[in-house]
Amino acid sequence: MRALWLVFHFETMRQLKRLGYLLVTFGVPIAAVALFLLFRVLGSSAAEAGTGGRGDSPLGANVLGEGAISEDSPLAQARPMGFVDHSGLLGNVPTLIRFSSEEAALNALKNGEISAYYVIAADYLQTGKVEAYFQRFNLGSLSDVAIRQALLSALIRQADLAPQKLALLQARTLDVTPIAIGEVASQATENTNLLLANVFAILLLFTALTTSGYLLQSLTEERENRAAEVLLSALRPRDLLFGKFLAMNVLALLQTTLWIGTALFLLSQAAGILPDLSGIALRADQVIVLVIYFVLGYLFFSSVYAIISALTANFREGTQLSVVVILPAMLPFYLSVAFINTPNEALPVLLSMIPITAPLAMTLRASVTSVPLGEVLLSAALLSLTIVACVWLAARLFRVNMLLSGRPPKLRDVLRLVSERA
Amino acid sequence: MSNAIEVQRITKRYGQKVAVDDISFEVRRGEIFSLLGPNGAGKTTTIRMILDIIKPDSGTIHVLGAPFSEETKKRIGYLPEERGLYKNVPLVELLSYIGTLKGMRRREAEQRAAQLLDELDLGAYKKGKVRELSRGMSQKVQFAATIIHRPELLIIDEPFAGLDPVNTEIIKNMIFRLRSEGATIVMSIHEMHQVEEMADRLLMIHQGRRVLYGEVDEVRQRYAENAVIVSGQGNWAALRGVMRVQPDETGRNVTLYLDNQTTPDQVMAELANSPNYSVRSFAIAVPRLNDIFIRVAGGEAKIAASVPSMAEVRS
Repeated sequence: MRALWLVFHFETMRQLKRLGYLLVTFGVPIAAVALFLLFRVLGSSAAEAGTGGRGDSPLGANVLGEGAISEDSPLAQARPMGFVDHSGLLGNVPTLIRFSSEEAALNALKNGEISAYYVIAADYLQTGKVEAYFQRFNLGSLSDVAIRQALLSALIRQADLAPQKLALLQARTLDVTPIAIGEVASQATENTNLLLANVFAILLLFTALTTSGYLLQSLTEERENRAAEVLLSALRPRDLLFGKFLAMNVLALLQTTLWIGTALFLLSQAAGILPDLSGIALRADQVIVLVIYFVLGYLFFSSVYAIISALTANFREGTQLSVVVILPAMLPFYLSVAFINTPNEALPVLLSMIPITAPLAMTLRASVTSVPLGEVLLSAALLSLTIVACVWLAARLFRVNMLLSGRPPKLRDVLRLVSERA
Repeated sequence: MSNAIEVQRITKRYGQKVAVDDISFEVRRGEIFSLLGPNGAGKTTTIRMILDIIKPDSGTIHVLGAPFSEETKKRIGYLPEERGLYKNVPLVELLSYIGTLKGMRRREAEQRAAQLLDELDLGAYKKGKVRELSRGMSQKVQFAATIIHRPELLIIDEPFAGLDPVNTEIIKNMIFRLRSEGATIVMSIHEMHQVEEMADRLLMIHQGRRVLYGEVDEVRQRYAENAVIVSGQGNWAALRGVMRVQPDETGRNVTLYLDNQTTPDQVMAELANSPNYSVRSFAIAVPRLNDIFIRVAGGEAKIAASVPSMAEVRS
């Protein structure tokens, strides 16, 4: 255990002093922040110039001209919203346009006269249900303050304070269900899910591959500089392997944490610029599955790369061989549309069970749906067993390749030395 | 006290090939023991089995009085033939890392590393890195890494490879000093004159088998022919009992091969009593280890072919 710790400490400190690691780890966040600040400064200048051109006109429905602002711009939210009241509760609402029918509201929405409209259900008093229709689904732009205030006022005006109404007042004045219309809206919703799934998948891949790159470099080093046998006379191969394995994972985790932290910070600062992401929310079960598969996926890729590094004589060969693993592992990524649309169909489920594709497959599925517990447990068990087997094999191969002293191993060498007593 | 190494009938096969075939030997404490053999003879396999890097198929090995364990590693220094170190780590840091892996405390290892670098004339490179050193300097750092923890047993494979005469002398003196401090040294080496000068005993392996084993002097005597080496003036071939005359490379010394009925004493008496000869030196010929090595590893035919015949000398 002491040897493992010594290796871990030595490798960690050595890598931390490397200029390349420092540049990548700290340089990327610094560059990202610098770019962000640059865009912000440039954006402020442009906004000031634009405001000057329009004069001091308030941003209201009757002031802003159509076409001056793109559909995607946050300023598009300045267009008015409408409502259709089937419940008969509401009178005129100052900031909202009343439509007599849903058809009229829909036409106004399609014509760009309004940015959205609410439909107050006829049984609102029983269900509290309100639907919101958008041309383009946009979680960040969903501001229901006006309609909420109007309904609250209407309920208070009735003031019979029946228990149901009180409950509505206290907790759920309205439960807005956003509904996208037509294909455009449907595509927008799908894009949001796809984006979320892909973000997690890319995060997993990126982190795993970054770690694996370090690991590959580290584990082939002793053979490249012929230090293998010197070290083998002082410690067990598995202590060397696991010490390096831990060190590289900690370093990659540090790097990833710094990058993700920077990204989250920048996203929080850019909330006004990127409203589409501000409303994303995941259920607890999804988060748990995502975390489990992030860790398992991370360990799986690391252990597979440990095998690769033990099979190759140097870093360059290892990088080439790693394609054999990366391509099949990314298969779910290529099929991500199928994962988004039918996450619980046969193909996604099958790929969730195969260890090499499971990390990405489960990440994609869990991003968009609740994966059945049984499938999660079975898949995680298979993946865990594979990781254990990979680590065991990596330790054996590592020892074998150390003894070959930089000579590329032949299959018969590997089979012979792996099977012999350690 | 038990021997430093006791090897009993070890065998190692790789498929059909027998790398080490039923070899037994012992290394006594405090001696310099030389492991000899041509390339591919099985020396490295034997060393790796002693160090428990690989296991023998059969036979037993005891190191420092017990079967090999992780604790044993800390009492051994090993300089492999295939050697190298991390190229981008400052030397003191690098050596102290190896020292701590061998059980030393970090502070103690750092002090010892600095001391060794001074002794090896590398004091100016304490903060330098292996990649900044010449090959000879790197070899000395390797040696320092091998002995940093003051091992009881030192196993060194080709310790003088890549070293110039000055650095060879430095390493040789350090080996002698370690021996005088009680360490046991096992040396695998191809420079036979170094074996003659340094080793107490030797083992020669050929094609996986033990072919020579024992005290260096005793082995040389065993292979000694009935011959004397003389220098001086005279017709050496005319001496009674001389079968063959072989001058050395310098031409100053001559080896006289005698028949079975003639002893060196008789030759010396004849030389002393005859006015036809002027003798500056006289010695009983003992073969050099190099010749024995070639004879054993390359076969007697090669030796015979390299020795000029009497007729050639006389002509």
